[in-house]
Amino acid sequence: MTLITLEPFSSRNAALVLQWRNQDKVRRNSIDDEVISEDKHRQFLEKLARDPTRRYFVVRLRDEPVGVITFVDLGSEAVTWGCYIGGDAVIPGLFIGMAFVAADYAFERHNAARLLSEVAEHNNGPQQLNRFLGIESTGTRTCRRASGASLVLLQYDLKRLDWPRIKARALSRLPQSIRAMVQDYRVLDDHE
Amino acid sequence: MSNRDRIVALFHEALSSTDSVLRAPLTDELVLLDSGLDSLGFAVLVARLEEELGFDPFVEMDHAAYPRTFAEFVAIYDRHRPK
Repeated sequence: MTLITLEPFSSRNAALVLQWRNQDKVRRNSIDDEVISEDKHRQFLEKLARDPTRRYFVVRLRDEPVGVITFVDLGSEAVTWGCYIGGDAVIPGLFIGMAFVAADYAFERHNAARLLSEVAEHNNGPQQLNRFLGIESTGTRTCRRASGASLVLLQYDLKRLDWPRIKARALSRLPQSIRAMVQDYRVLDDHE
Repeated sequence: MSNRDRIVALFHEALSSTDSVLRAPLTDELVLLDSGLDSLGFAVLVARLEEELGFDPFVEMDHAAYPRTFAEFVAIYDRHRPK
């Protein structure tokens, strides 16, 4: 049974995405920390629809929307991904599940050689996850947020060649429910 | 040892193993998202509970039933404990 489904961003899920995206807990960990208006989100969706190098999805678990996963620079050797969890219930292993899906999507469906990510210095969850997986930070950079504040980002670089070993080791340490979650996923077409 | 006692013990173990800190007393009313244990920490906790108790109640979980408080988390284990 496929537990995780990726639903492309569209006008159908725009209200939910905007509500999640504007939560304090999401903005706190985003480079762009401003509150996004409906109009700005609509313009973003229009640009996204015309850009084949970017894919943004709502993650559904057993058909319930639970978060967002994003990919940029698709088609290049190094794809960058990001994610956030939208709801307020604790779903054990959801974040790990999203990481597994991200690696598979970039490496297997888009033939990337590297999967990159950036994590805000104060955001411990993703840093813990990368430590759990054995992925070390490759460096940092400082950027300016929409609010004008500076933000230090930890950079991560997962290589396709390393993923099978990392995945196998992680799976051996995860409970049955999470192993089932990450075994397979489905990507919906834009029209589904 | 009751389910609850075992969960409390392993909750503290999961905090320690993920370098996390308990942010509020571990009471029934504690909101899990505010506990200090994140998604990975809960994955570690569920894995340890699977080792200790022999089952994982989240295998057949409906999204609507995912726990929000510590009491709900314990109740899930009590409810799904194999007979």
